[in-house]
Amino acid sequence: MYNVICSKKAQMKIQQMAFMLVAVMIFFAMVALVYFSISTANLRETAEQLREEEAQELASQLSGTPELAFTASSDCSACIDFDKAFALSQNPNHGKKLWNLDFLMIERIYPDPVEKTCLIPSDLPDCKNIRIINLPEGRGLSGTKTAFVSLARWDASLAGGSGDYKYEFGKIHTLAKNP
Amino acid sequence: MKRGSKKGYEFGFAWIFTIFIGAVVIFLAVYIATQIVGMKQLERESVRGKKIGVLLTPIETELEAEKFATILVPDETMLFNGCDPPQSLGNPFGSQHISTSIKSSIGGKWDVKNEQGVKSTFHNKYLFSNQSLHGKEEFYVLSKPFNLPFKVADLLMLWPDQEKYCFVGFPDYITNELMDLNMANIILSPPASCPPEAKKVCFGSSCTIRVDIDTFNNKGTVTKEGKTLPYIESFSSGTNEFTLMYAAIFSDPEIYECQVKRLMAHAEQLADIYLEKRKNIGCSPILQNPLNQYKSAVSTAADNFKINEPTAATNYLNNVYAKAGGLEIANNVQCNMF
Repeated sequence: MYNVICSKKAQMKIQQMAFMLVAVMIFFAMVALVYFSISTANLRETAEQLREEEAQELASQLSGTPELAFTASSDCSACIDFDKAFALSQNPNHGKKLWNLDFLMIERIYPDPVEKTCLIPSDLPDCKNIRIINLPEGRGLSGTKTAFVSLARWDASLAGGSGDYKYEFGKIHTLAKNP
Repeated sequence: MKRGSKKGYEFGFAWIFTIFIGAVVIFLAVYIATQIVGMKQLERESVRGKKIGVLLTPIETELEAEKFATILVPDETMLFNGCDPPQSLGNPFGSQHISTSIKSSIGGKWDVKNEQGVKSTFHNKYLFSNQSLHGKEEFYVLSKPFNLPFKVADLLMLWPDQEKYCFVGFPDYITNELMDLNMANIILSPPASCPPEAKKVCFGSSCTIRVDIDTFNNKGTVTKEGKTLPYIESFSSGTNEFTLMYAAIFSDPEIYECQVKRLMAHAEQLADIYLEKRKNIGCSPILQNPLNQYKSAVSTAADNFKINEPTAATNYLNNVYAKAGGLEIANNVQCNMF
């Protein structure tokens, strides 16, 4: 009789302990889940921030890169060579493989351009923008970084038809690459 | 407990079960904590690698002839410089990898080889340094443009606060530049004498790093670790002519070989842009021939430049220099495209 009662008590204790352990494990699992979700969100945010920083730094430094720097004349050392930018846009792989960017566009602001993308050389005198890296499908433009730049391009109609460089005002748009 | 007492401490199933489960819980807790610490460390190292890479962008030259900058790190850091040579199909510019290992304040030995963060990859950067750099607080960067004859890239020479370079017997045009830049851990001898821990860089005489300049032929060699690294001058006025010489002084031979291949591949891609630009602005076709010859020379150098074959490597670079010279002359006569 005594033995039977004792065994029931022990069973109760084991059950209690098992429930307690399960509860403790569930509690720790939940804490771990919350911790990991917060830490993953932080990591994503850091990664995004770093990508944006890279895009911003590139936007402000692109006029010095050999692909876009205007070196044909010493009149404007900080200018972007609009003709080189157009040549670069003819080979979209070049920009895509060189920079960690999903979108790179040079926009002419002043003098007022015609609302069209520069696609063929005859567009160059008055077109609005050159897309060096086209936006991938399904990617939005949010997070695009911009920087104002001076543009220089060869204009054959200047200097009485012998041609000269024309200086304009523009903006550069960059969007960080999504991994 | 009384002697002879039959009462004993019952070590029953409940106790055994509790101890077992307790041990499992404690083991799991320690294991998870270790994993979390490791993950956080990996995260820190990966973020630092990327940050250093991003920081190098504003250090590149724009209007300046050259730049010197200091990168401060909050903890003792090992920086790894990795380079993949260009591949004409998948990766035409090659890759620059940057990763770090940060010394942890907890734990024992710092296993730098196995505890590296995720590599950050860039295709537009050229880092010339040893493959691993140990910095306690600072890393130093010298940025110089490399023109062949147009600007190909900015070369970034990197060294940590734990490494010193002592330049011995260099001509005035080089020592004056080094003095003007007033770079940390770069000692000029004379006037100062070389500290024993510094790597000696000697002009025309043998020591840790030997530099020979052939100004008449616009080329030279840097001899280090038993290997000869050929270089050519850059098409710049003043001291920036020796950009590639500095790159060879500060690099491991393997890094130098890979980065020179990448530079040549980049020059080839830029030649394509100039060919396209020439066509678009209606420039005389006379420039097309030198551009094509130049493109072929840099392409050959990108494919075949090997430090282990110094004579062939020198010839490839000399050929590139000759074609670049021809292109510059043609450019000055025609169109002035760069």
